[in-house]
Amino acid sequence: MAETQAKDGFFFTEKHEWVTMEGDFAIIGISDYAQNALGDIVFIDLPKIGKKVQAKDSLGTIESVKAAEELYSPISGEVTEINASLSQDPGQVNSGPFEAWMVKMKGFSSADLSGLMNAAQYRDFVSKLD
Amino acid sequence: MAAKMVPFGGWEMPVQYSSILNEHLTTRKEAGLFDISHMGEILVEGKDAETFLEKMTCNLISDIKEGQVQYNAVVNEAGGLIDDVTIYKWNTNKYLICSNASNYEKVTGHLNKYRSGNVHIEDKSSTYHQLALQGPLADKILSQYLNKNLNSLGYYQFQEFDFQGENILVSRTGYTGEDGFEIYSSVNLGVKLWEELLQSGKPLGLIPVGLGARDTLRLEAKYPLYGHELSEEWTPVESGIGFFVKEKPLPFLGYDKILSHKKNKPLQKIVGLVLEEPGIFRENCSVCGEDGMLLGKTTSGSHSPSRKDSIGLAMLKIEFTEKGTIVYVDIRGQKKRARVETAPFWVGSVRNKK
Repeated sequence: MAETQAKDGFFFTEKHEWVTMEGDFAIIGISDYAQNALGDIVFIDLPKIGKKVQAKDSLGTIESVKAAEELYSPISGEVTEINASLSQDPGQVNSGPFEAWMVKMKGFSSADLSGLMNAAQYRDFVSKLD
Repeated sequence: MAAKMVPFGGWEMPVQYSSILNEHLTTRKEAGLFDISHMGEILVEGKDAETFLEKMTCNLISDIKEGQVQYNAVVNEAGGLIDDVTIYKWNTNKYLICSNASNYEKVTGHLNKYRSGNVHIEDKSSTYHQLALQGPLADKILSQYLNKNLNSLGYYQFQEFDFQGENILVSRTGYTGEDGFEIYSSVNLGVKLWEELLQSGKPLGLIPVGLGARDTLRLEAKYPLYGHELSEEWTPVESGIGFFVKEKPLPFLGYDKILSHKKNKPLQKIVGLVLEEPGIFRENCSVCGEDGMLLGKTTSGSHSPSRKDSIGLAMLKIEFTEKGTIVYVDIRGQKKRARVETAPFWVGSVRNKK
């Protein structure tokens, strides 16, 4: 998995979610490593807009043909938008995990990011997984 | 070949070669090649072989014609299912039982325990290689490769051929709901057949298929899987394969219980479920009625690549097994509406009758 992408400007959890900032908003998705491990993604259950979560709370479920995985929030905040196109075409996450975002949030603290890995650290983290 | 591997029945098995969706849909549309060497093969020979097998199984052995294969189940005295098997008949003195990977040692032991008269039982699993070639183009691909016309080989019939200096056995059987074959050979020849068949079938779209798609294909066809729908705790009738249970002049083990389930209905039975809301249910989800009463549990469940919805099987109280009955599946605490389906979820190119 040495070639696993980790985009600069993105921050990562050990559960392979990513978060990146866009103005006052945080955008959340899952990494290339995660989509590859899951295989064909066929259903994504996303939270309701307005839902408030703490970091590491569940934001929803990602299901591939064989497995269901929880989507954990990398940060605390309030859900402002979900990527509705994923309900029609969840396979976008397999073909472009860094483009197919899942949730936008506001009201987070940038201190939350300090516990996350940057791209270089995440690349290193992934390279040490089997 | 870069495959994702998983442990299965004591074997390291490829779960997928490319992607489960791609392998599944290609098998439905063209053809897929499965390495199923993990299956067990048990030879039963001797002049009392037929009588012995009648006692051990609940389908009628004497119905099998020479050169025919029969779907059957090895049962125990409590009426439980030891394994679902296919039985190949050469003549009344020679049968081959094809048994599941996780069960063939148990089946061999069980048969030996009840062996009587002139019967010889031999576990040949380590000497056989097995491939399954499945899909609407399987006949064309295999006929071309073997340079034989296989069209006359009927559903659940088998034939032996001399091929590359060895004897191979080809049956028109499978576990996908598509037309196709299972091919038995020596291990060395099997490895070669795998490579050569993939090459030869490639222009027609043939690809290798792993365990992941084998499971979604069998589920769409509504075929049971041991450890899910089939268990020693349940009779074949409860497991939904009571259609082949026969009355016999020589009773099989657990005869009274199994026959009474067949005649009077069991208290519970395996049925198909289709989810009517977004989501996917897997095995071991609770199933309830509208009033919240527990009706049973799901035994298998998956996204259906062909239908693009959520399908599965469940062991439910018999009163709730009629087609169209509405039940609720508990998916991580959310109760989702599902409909009982009694027909296969998908009808492929499989040939129906002999």
